[in-house]
Amino acid sequence: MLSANNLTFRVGTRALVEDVTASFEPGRLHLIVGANGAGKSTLIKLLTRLMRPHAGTIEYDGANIGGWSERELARRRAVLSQAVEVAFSMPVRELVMMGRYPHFGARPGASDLHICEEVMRYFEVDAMADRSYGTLSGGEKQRVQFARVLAQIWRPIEGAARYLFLDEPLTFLDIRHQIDFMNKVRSFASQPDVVAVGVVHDLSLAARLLMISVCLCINIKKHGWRCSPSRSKSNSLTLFIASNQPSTTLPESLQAISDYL
Amino acid sequence: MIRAQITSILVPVCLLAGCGRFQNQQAAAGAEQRIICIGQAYNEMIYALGAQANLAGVDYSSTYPPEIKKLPTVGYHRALSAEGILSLKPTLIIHDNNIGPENVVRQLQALNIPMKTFQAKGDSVEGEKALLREMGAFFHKEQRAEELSAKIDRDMAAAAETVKKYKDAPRVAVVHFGRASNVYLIVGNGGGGDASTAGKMVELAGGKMAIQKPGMQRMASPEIIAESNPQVILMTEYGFDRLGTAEQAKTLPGVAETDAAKNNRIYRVSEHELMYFGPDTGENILKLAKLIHQ
Amino acid sequence: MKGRRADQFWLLVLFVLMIVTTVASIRYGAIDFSSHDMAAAVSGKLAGSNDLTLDQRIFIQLRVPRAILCLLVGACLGVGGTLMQALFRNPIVEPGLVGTSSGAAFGAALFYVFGALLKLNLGGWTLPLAACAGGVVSTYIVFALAHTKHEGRSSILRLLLTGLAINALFMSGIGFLSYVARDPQARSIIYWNLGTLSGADWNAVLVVGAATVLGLVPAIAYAKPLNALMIGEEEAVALGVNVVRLKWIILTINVMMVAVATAFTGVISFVGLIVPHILRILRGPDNRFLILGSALLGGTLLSVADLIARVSLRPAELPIGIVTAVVGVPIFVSLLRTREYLS
Repeated sequence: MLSANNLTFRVGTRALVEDVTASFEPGRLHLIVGANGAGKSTLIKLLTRLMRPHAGTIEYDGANIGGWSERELARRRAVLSQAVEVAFSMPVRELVMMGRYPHFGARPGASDLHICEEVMRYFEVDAMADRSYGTLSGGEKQRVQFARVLAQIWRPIEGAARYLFLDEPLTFLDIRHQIDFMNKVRSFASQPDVVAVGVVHDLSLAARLLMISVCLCINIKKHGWRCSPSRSKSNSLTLFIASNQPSTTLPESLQAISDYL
Repeated sequence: MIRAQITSILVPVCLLAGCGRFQNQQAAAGAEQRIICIGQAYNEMIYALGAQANLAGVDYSSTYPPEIKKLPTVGYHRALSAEGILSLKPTLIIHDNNIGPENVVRQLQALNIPMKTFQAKGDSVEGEKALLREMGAFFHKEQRAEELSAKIDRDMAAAAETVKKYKDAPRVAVVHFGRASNVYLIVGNGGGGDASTAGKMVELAGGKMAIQKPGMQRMASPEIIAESNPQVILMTEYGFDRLGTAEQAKTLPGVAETDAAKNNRIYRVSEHELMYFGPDTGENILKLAKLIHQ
Repeated sequence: MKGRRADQFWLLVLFVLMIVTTVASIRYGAIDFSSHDMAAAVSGKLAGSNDLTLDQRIFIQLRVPRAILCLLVGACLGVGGTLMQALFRNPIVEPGLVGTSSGAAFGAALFYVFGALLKLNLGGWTLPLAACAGGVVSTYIVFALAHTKHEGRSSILRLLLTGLAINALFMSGIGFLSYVARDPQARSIIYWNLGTLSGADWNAVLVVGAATVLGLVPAIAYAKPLNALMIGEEEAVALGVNVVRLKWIILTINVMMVAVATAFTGVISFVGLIVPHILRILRGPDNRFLILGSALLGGTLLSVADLIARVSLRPAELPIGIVTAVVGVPIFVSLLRTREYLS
């Protein structure tokens, strides 16, 4: 369980995220969609602790992550970003192995090697495992990055949940791979000990997944989020809508989404 | 860093331009003394005194008289190496207190290598004679030293006579090429080291230094030389040869506007004739006098 | 694992290469020592004899420390290059880029021009101290200017640009000092900027040796976090690396190694640029191999360069900076053309 309590983040006098409280349960994929500038990216960065809030706390399984070391955090949570720039080219296998860095000291162990093999197979990059990263296409590179990130939290941890975050990771993928990727992520996220939260820019993609189970009206700037789960065909996807307007109502946002769809 | 790298290309070119000197075989061991002498003025004097038999090696800048180039060279006098010097098996190292790097000097001292420098400073005519006498005493060529001193006196007298004949003292500019910094320098009147020698020589030859400010300045701005408007320009050989001809010399900043350029009075002069005092000083002054007054 | 064994194989090759070049550089030079001479010199010295011939004393006091100093300085410059390129995520970075080399050169220039005025005289230590102080001060200025308040993370790009600006500042300072210096001083400054190992003695070996060991050990320990930096600072944090602390540690190691080495030999360029390149083309960018590899290859390259400097024009010597450029650049160019390795 991931909970955010009264999170606030300011730049100068402007609050990008103001007094936001929300919780995310394991076993389902949570997506945050919304207009640019609504604060989605900032929120994700706060949840991953890549940025620190000016007020409020974040808890993983009830524990405040504010004091955790970078390494402790890295063993529990992984972040999928947009295009990652790799400074010097190396074999794909080595890049994926970086995902296991939080888990071993100087050299990888047998389990680390197995995990890398599995995760490369999962994202269909095992065939290019020994190729130089620099020779891959944009889409192939992105899949290698996915493999690396998932390798970080591939295996369950005794007595703790794993946390996966997505920060608009679908750039460079063609449509087939985008759908494929989202399906893979959703199935990974459906494990009972995985909490997955993501920002996806493309609403139509979210729509394609057809499984909008809950629509919520979120105002990231005020009042926090209200989450009211409802019965629906799929229990695997929760959609959050981020908005700039102080008083967007639920019916209005539902209307907007159905218009879009 | 870039400047250093440009210099670093030019330095080996210069070094290799003195080609042939680095492959010189060492003189047959068997002579009792093997002397390495570092200092172009000193070496010129040693040859003049006829004391060169025991010379085993010299520095790169010692190029006069021409036969000195047959000796092995230990490199540039401020970039020496102890091992290089010692590989020539010297029994004595003579230097003019202008050697480096300091580390190398310290290393030679730590190995108890005999080193010598002379007391007299050859920075004036009198100093030159004193230095000749001191070196003469050291090399047991006292008589030759006396002969050279006397010759200097005679030539100086002749020069003074010649100068009296001329009514005017032409303005003379001396342009030297600084190899270390790769720039053309205009020599002023006075200041330390080489600069003062040129000034004194010109004065003794009946001329007047166009630039009165002491020391050597870079010829960066055309005003420096144009303002003083010299009637004669003397260029040392290395700098002159880089340009090629007197016509080319006029391309240096400010030179074309001078009287010297207009009257085609730009002359090539050997460094050893103008920039430091030596055994031929008297003769050189005489030559100089004739040159600048012609 | 295949990769690991290949790493070990190449490290062994580099080590052997280093030994071979060291033996050559001890043996050959302005004076060529025979094995007999060398053995006699060593045994004589160890026996505490005062009866050594001049050649033997040259061997012990000049040649051997010089050969060792070559290895140490080469290692410092090579490792410094690797660290900097990993930190700046850019292959065109030299250890001197954060201001260390130009600061050291400026310190040396100050010593040459004003050293006589300052009553402070520590004999042979004054120049290295001045250069080291210059290197440390200039590096500190660069950091202080480039540090941002934003979460304490100084952006690498800002560091690079500030380093360039400070380098330019110090280089013009050196230019000015050369301008006002008397001719012999100006020449000293220039030759110092080209680098030379001719001042090598056992004291230098001691100090540079200490700096090398103190720098190499933590550098190897931090190799893995440095790898993570290759995919970006934010990604490295996500992988559990304390990036702020890493940057300070790596930069400190670099300053120490490069400033101390430069202080004794003058500015020697290209080694820090070329050594990591060659190794990366050979084995990829994994710092767990690169750091130790560049210590070995840096030492080897510099020994070869010094040997050429001492032998090609004997009994005169070429400044070593020229040789490193002439030896290093063609290797770099030819290797770059055979394999594409930049992503």
